[in-house]
Amino acid sequence: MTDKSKKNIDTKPIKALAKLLDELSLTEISYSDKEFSVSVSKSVNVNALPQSNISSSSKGPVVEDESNNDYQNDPRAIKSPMVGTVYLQPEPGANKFINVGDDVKSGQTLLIIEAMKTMNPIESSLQGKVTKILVENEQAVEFGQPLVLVE
Amino acid sequence: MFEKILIANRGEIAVRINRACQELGISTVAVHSEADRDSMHVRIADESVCIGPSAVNKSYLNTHAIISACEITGAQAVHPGYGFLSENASFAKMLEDHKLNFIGPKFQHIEMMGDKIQAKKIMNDFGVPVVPGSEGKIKDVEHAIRISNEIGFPVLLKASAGGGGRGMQIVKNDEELRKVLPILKQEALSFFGNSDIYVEKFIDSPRHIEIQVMCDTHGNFLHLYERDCSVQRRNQKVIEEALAPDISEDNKKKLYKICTDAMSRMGYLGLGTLEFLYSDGNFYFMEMNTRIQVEHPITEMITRVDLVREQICIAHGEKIFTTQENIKPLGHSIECRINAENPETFQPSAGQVQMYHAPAGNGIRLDTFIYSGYKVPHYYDNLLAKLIVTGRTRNHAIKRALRALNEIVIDGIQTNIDLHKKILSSNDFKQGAVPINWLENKIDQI
Repeated sequence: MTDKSKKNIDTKPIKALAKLLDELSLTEISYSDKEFSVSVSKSVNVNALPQSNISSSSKGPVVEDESNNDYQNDPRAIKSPMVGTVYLQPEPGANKFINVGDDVKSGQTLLIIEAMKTMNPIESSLQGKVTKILVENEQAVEFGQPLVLVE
Repeated sequence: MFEKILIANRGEIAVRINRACQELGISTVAVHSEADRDSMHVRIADESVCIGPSAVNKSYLNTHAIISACEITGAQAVHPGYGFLSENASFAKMLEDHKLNFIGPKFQHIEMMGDKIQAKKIMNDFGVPVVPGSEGKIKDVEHAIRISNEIGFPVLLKASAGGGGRGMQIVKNDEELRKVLPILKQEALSFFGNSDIYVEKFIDSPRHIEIQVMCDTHGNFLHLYERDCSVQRRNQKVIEEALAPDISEDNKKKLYKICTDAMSRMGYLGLGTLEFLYSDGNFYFMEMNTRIQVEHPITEMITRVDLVREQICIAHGEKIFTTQENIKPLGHSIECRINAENPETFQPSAGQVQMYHAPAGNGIRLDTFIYSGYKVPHYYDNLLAKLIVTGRTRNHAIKRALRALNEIVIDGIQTNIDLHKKILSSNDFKQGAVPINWLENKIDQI
């Protein structure tokens, strides 16, 4: 058992550092000067759960591309309002609705999503130029999935 | 066997269903709202599909999105869990129309039992004892007053489309009835889409006893004994146990037979639970739930039958793997529902789980979906975890539960863990057989 009467630890700087740690969501913070140095750290719970493996469905290509995750919060992204299958042209053999480089108006149909046997035209909410088409023909998409970039 | 099942639910039950599927070698598809992107059921499934924004009606109740998700993933069957679409007969029928298998009862039976008035009538016809009452919806206030005076006040006014403890109100006399009825009708219309009300005799201080049934397509209608779910607050279960203490074996045996006979006459399929009020040695049928229940694990622990696994096998047309004689209960099991709630106000409380440590050791089972760092969303119900404890005897189970409640750590959000400790330490609970109004009446004293 330590003899607490011999040492007087100044808890103020430690408390201040611990507070900063929390406020700034840090895991470690240290301070040192000529007379004194202290380091405060928080143990991190490494989340050992496996990331879900989005494997290809028997129907077609992967539901989630890595590239889509990059555009989740991108203001240029037109996102899918439903779960279904993407068609880039109105019918097989016809020309695609849009190509990269096209100018599109707000309300213009960009592609079709088939859901439960109904064809749903997906319209652009933005006006501008199509810079990227993030999905392939007949690709399965989920709600909120980025489809096209318009800027 | 099915190759791929879509789990149309979230939280702990979605994890539970995932586990049963994985043990059967079935691929799983998790569907989720945007708020549940990092939820455990999504992480452990083989595939996941985001089906909508956080709002329940746009995601977990979105039948079209769920069916679309089946189409793009090739899932052959849907397990609806509990709540959400699990007792939605139209959804079950919709799946059938799309050549998808609904893991649950026939949609006609879901519809039948979903109408609480009709359910009572049907059960009454099958010789199941029911609570005396209006035997049908009340036509008007005068009708309600007549019936109530016949059966004797106090009476319970109940919404026919309600259930799960919601849409009911006690009235003590004519005047109260006149006042409450129009309000209850209005509430029933907005919450359940149906303003039909029926009257039941209010049974004072009953216990809540329910019978688990399991039926297949091969003529087997089995029971898996009972659960005592009397520890409730505002008609929501807090603690459940199996088997029920202080009820004679004879009385129980009679009830089991009544239930399995009724299921046989109905031609029921899958799992179901018949809920009864028990008072003065009598059982009174209240309602039937045509789905897996939250508290199913306590039945699993004492019978060693995996109920979710059986649901899947039965839905696939298989014969139940065992016989009634071979399902013998052993030991006593208690479940504590651990909710994210403010211990004083009982308001649900969301937030981030800063630190989570599960209890372990003999006889401990924890069904949950939380993990350290998980952000509990505020859009959904606040059940965090089910602590299921099994012991040789009831006393042993209680001691073990207290031991486990002392071990469990859920930091960062408020929970009702302390309430569970208080309940399990109380003399009343230790004695057993408390009625459904016990917790609310005694909560300040325990």
